[in-house]
Amino acid sequence: MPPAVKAGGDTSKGTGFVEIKQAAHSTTAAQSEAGTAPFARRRLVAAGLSGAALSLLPWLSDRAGAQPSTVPPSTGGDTTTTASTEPATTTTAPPKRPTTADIALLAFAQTIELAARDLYDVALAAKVFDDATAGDITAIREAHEAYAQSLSGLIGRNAPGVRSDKLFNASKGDFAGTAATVAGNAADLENIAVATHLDILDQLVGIDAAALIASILVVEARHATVLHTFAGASSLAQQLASQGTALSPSDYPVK
Amino acid sequence: MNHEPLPEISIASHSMSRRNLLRAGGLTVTLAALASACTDDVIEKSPARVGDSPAPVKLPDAAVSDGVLFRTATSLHFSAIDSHNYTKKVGALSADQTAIVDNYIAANMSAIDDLQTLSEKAGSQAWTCANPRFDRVILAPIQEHIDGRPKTGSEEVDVAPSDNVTRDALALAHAMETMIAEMHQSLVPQLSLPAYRAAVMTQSHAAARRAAALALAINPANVVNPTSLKNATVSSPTTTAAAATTTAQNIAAGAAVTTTTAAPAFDFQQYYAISSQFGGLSAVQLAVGKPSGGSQFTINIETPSLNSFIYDYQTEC
Repeated sequence: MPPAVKAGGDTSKGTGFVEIKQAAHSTTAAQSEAGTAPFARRRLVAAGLSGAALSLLPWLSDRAGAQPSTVPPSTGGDTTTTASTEPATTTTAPPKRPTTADIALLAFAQTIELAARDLYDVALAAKVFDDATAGDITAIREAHEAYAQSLSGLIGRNAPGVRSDKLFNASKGDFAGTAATVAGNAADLENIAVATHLDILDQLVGIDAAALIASILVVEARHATVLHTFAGASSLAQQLASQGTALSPSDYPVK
Repeated sequence: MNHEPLPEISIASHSMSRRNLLRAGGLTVTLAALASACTDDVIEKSPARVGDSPAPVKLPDAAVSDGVLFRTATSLHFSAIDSHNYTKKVGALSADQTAIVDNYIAANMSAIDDLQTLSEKAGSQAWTCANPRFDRVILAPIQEHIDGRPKTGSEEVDVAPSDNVTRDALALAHAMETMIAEMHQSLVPQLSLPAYRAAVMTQSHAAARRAAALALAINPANVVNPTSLKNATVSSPTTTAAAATTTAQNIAAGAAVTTTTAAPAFDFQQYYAISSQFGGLSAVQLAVGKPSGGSQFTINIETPSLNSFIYDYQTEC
């Protein structure tokens, strides 16, 4: 069996390539020469195409990094959208835990709450209220104690845990007398507490403390409305009365 | 074995051309990949687009700022005013009750003025109308159960009108004021400045007073929530009558004989002037409408959140 012959007998190229079987059976030089002419043309065409492809590369790479459309975005029919009202975002969040200054304010608030609790004890001890009203007054008294306890939770070991004696001594006379008088004075005390907590809230930095004070003062406002009613408020304006002067830590220092 | 050479066919002359074509193609692809890899990094991350397609709509920036919170609060006060006006319209109120609701409308208008000033101070535009989502999701269903309406969709029966419009209208007014108080309280941890927190709590305690006064107007006996009274170890007074026994069984007769004696009184929702020891942030539950099947239409009125905020990009009511 004769050895296989490469297609066209050309040994200058294709070394190592496996040729198709039919090519091994070329026998005539004429036929072989006849095949070289189109072969050269093909090379020329291939080289031209390759060059053209290479010349297109920069353009293609530009397309790959196409810039975004310069067409302005559609508003989608939403006439309420404007791009000119970009809100200013807050970049720093307030702390959750109370700061040192917050602790001092919370301690002051606790002494006020404990003074209020003790003042209600004075009123209840006088037994000037009927049973139903006494029950409501007791619930209010318990609420003030709960406020003091919750403040302790935020303040920690340094919580004063004692009432403001100055406030208690100045007010305890107001919690004796007729039911209506005591209720009226208690309503005033609640309004003072609301004003004091609002003043504290205006200074608190920590979120947890602010949230707690807010949850306290909003119910103390309700206490005031109820107590005004017990005091015999004859109009809605009297029921909703909220006048009260805030107490300050400098006037009622925490011992 | 046949060693005769195969006849020459024209394909022999094509073999090289295919090879060259493959070479040229491979070279082209290789060079193209190399050139692409060596090009400068593309800054623009948007993918290339072929053909004509609409530019994507950029969603507006919905940042929750202090101004947005004040605008939202403003919108809820407007919604409260709308609700109070509805209460006056359908509630068949007495003169005293009407005076209360008028007072509350005026108080909410005053709150709106303050909140609009705060909105502008915080760098936002003042909002001038009600909260559209709140009105659609909360107020509309409530009004449907007071007014009544024909059945829709998969409902099997019409929504009956209220059997006591005054009760339901006042309950709605109470719920709105309670919600306003809770809303302002819920804004405290979200606002960035202590002064803003104090400002919203000024509105909160005013609304809480209004809710308390209205609860007493609805039922003067409902002062403190019985749960709070129990916590205070005080025996709570009974505010509702015990349900009457509805069945009686004659055991001696051998067979059970059931006799209906009286229908139980429906336990309508109660509102208290002092509803809890601490100001709560839970949903305000409101029951309105004609009782049906032992229950009433009940809806939870939530304080506003991300879906009902009035963002800065919203510029028109």
